[in-house]
Amino acid sequence: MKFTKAAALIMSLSIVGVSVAACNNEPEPVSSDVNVISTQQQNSGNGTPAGTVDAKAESENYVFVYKGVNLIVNTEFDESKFSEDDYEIYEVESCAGQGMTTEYDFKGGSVQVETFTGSIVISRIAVNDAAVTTAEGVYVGQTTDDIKAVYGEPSWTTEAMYVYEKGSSELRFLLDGEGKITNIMYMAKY
Amino acid sequence: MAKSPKKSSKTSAKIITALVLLVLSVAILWFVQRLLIPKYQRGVIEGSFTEEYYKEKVPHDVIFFGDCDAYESYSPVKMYEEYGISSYIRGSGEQYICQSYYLLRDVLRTETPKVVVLSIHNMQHDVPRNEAYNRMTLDGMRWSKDKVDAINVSMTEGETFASYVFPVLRYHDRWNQLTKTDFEHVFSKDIISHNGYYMRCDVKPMGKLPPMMPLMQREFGENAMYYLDQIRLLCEENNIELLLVRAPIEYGWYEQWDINIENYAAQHGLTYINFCEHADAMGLDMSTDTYDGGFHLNLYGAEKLSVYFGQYLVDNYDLTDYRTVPEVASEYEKDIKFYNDMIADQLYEIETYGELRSYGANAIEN
Repeated sequence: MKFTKAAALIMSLSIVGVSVAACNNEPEPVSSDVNVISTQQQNSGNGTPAGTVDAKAESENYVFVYKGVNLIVNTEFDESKFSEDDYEIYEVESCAGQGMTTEYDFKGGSVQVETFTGSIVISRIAVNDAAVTTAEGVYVGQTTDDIKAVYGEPSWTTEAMYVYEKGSSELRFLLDGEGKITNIMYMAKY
Repeated sequence: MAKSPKKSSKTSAKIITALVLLVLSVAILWFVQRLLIPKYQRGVIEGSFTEEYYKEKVPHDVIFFGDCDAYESYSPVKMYEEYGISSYIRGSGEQYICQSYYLLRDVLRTETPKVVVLSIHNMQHDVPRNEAYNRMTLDGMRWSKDKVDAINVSMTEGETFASYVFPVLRYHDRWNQLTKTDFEHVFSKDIISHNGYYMRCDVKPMGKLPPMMPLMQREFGENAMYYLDQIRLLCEENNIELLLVRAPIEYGWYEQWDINIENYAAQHGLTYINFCEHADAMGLDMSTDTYDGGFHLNLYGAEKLSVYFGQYLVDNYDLTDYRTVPEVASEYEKDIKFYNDMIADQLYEIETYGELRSYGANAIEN
């Protein structure tokens, strides 16, 4: 009798195990044939889930100010703060139905804002010409000396880039062969 | 003191009961796991591609590897019809280059193709970055040391090896999202690709493409380069010709990356074909040959590329015309029928509803 109970227990445990697993508090479920894993679950590799709002973003990250609006990576992009005439909008479908990436191309291509796939959270901001500066006043065409004068020593560099890290964001200055800024990028850290 | 026969038979009964219950428990867990894992039979079907390869009954002279640039751009059935080439696309959604390497190793367990075609679109990602894509490529892979290694090099933060061994650990919370498809395909799955090709017959002309973000990384990542080298060396060891290709899709790639690949090919005596440069020669018309505004080819675009590329393959490699090999030809006849039936079905839906209903990522569940 005792033995039969123990045996029955094994079976019950397996069923309960599955039930408990089914009820725990994991991130968004995996749907059958639509999004295989939710955006929340996709990870950018540094502990900041891709497409997730960083609550401390404004105080702890680089802030780009454009037309009086604060734009910060890992925060939601609010279209309503701009006029529809300010930008062209593009949507790019990801591979295998994992959602849309939205790109806002501001007039003249000076500024581009890109969201994470399947989300309205900003992943990247690009500044492409000297018509726009960083909040600290650095702009395209300046030199590495100008960058260092404002931001100090970079967190890391390559031949073609100066990178400053702050919170969950990076500020990247892309350089040409002569050390002049060609583009400025605000990026969620990967 | 010897046990009495009655006591001994009671012990045996207990052991048998325990075994039966254990087997039953395992069977229940197995069934639950089968039920809960995504089936990739409708909507996002790309997660089925990896495992479909194992159902193949014919040898392949040419095998493709890569992401959507591979599995949406070349039609093996068309290349067979036109040239008798037997080929297969071992592609999957955002397949990373390290995964292409292990899938090649996996192929070599059962066959040695004459030509490996590597779609270099996946060189842009140095390391795997997304669990969903990892799952689509790796869950369907047959268990071997190569699968173990592929999982180990692919896992992103938060993923566990155990969840690949026991997928129920990952998919347990799908219980309230199960659909009819999940129940229909608990025990078996239908083949939904055409030798790895993902068919789309709808048309959405290419419009103005989004401007590309500035190029930050001129060189490919070290990890990506390492696996490209590994693929090259593996092909050399097995006397396989390695061919590097890029589909005729303008978006999502930088000129500098073409230069990198050209340099790599020149350095190692490989051929790199950038099909963007051959778009006119193959008669590609992006007002009719794409289903999503220029990001991927539809059937018409893929067939044009396949006819063009197939001619290149037969001109440059010693490939068998399998139309003359009856046992292979009979299998391809079935593939051709399936291919044509799906074309007819998709065209019917487009004509009837103005769009695809049963195909594509947003396919409607019956």
